[in-house]
Amino acid sequence: MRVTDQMEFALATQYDDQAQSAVEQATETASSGLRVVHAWDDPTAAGLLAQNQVTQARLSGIGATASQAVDQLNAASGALTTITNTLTSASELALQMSDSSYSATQRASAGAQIDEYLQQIVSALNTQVGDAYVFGGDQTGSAPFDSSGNYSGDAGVRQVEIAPGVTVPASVNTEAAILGTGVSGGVNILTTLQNLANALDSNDTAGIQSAIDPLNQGATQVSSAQAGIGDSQDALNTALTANQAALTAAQTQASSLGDADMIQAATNLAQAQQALQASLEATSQSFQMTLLNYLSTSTSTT
Amino acid sequence: MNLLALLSSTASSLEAQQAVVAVSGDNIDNASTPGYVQQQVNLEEVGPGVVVGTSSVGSGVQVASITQTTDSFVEAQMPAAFSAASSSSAEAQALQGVTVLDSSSSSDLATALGNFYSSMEAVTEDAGNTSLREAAIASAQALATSFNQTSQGIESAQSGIDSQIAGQVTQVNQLAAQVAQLNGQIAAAEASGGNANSLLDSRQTALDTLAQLAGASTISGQNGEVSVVLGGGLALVSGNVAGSLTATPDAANGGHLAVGIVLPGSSSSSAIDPSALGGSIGGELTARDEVLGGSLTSLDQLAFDFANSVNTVHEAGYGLDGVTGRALFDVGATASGAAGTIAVDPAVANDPDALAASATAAGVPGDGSQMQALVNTESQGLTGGLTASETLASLTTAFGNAAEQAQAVSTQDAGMLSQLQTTRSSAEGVSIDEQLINLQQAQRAYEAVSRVIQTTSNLLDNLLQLT
Repeated sequence: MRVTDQMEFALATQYDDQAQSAVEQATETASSGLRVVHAWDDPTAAGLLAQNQVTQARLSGIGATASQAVDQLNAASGALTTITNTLTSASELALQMSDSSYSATQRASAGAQIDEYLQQIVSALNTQVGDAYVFGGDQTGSAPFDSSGNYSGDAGVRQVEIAPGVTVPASVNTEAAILGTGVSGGVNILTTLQNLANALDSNDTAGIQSAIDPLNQGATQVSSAQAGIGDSQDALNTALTANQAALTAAQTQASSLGDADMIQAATNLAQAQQALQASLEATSQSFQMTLLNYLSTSTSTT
Repeated sequence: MNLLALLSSTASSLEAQQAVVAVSGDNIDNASTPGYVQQQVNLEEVGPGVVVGTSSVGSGVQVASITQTTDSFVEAQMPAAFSAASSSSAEAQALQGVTVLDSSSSSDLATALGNFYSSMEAVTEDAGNTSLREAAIASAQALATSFNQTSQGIESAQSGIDSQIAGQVTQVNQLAAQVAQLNGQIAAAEASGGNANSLLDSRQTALDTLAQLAGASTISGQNGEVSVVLGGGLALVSGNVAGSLTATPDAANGGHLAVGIVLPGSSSSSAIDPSALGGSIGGELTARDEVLGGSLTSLDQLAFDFANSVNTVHEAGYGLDGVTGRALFDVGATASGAAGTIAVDPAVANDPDALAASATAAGVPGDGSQMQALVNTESQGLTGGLTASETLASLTTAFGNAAEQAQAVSTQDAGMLSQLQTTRSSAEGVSIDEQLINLQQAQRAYEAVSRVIQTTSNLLDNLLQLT
């Protein structure tokens, strides 16, 4: 083939540009660590990455919501433990005061103690996590119990999605657990305590004795609710673990789809640099091989 | 033998060698000039002038012609190669300028979509919580903004292509006028027997650029003239009369420029089917209308279907104020332009209580079951049968495939063009080494002829001394 100067320069430019471009691309991959930056780098992987990003965001969201629910359930469980202990103490105090050896003054003093218990329980029932009152049912925006023990919440039990389409209870049915509504043989703990306090204040031994069983029953009622919380906590903790595993799997998938194999990237970069160097050297050599050089040399020699 | 005739013939030989030197010099001067075709001096022996015995001796050498070393086989393939390479390169470049569908894009639609569902999910857990409601509305606004930005990114790319097309149409018209003018000059030069080589070079450069810009090809005519035609046989230049391209906004295509043509000798413009245009204009039209237009249509459809799917559930729910029937997104009545205009309904955007999380008016905030139903739309198919995230993935893959294919075709076309250009350069370009040899050859011939003159002169002197 006849080789012309323009051809020689054009080819040198083309090959050097190609080698330079390969180095640029290899450098970008090696420095960014990404194999798929643009949709055209690997269209199928880019599409899967888009879906993966939605999945990761969803799993993170589900995880955050489940964690929040666990926090609320932990707080509710703690409050219910306090209530159970308080009820037990109240029951013991009632049993003690039902004995005929105690005076009216002593019973009145015990009544004051029961009033304090009542306030402790109300305080526990107004437990908050963040801005949310955990015993308000669906009404989480305001304190569900006033100081007299009147309930302004509802029977709602909030549900949390632990996996797409799968939900678990994330709160207590306060009306059932505390007020005994809808529970076979259920007792209103607060009313029972109030009745006990009144009986103690009025030195009503029969009234005191009649409060003992409901108190014990109330403690059982609360324990039962606590057991339900425990089930939800277990489910949520299991779900959180599974969610974290799913998130990790999604991140791994995203990495395998979009991240570069760094060893391969480094090798490619080294190869591209070597190819560029070879191209530049070849170009340099070819530019020197011209008759003009020989004629100039022979002219200067002669 | 006539010594004076011999002297006379050497004069034309010297002229011929001088012509060789001059043409080689011109070739060397223009070795790097784009479009320059190597010229060569065609020498011929001057017919028998001196009779020696029964034989005749020629009367030296003369310049028969100075021609270009054009390879018509290669030249016939060049317009199509220029057109294809420019078209695919322009398409690939236009598409690779669009980064709004990258996963690292600031308008990252996928993450915004996932965050939207997640923040709505958080509301289901505590439907009365104002902070969660505000966060959910903010994520809906972020998603709408992401749709808007993605749409704007694609439209911005389309507008950029419009600007390029407008500039290229102007360039095409200037070149068409130039070719028409050169046609006239070449015809005049050839009719007068002159050398039109430099005019041919200029015209060929213009024709190459026309092929690159619009995929124009040529048809040879009389007197060295060429007609320039676009796809479908539309004439752009006929003889020494040029037509022109027009670029006018097309309301039916979002106000993007439509390319039309004013045929040579005509005064009115008619529309051109985009498929009749090759070169960079053709590639840019393909990128703008087929690929980006297709992506934008898909994005609009996604925004429209997604918003309607969410709105249907939201409108059935109740806000904290007990009001129902409110849409979460404003998206318009048709899919056209939906991605660019989608926004959170002001009634919801300005009032977190308006977020409809409850399935019933009684007992609001309720248990968040309506919000859970809204979240569940995530796994429901839209009108195309795919979920929102699957549709987004499909859209991304389709765009990526188009851009990847354009790049692959561009690389292939560039390779073919490079091969042809190499062949063309090999046939038509200047080799300085070759020209130096020609110079040496001419110099040696000139010296030899000079020696003939000297010898003849000596013979004449000898003869004169005898007389």
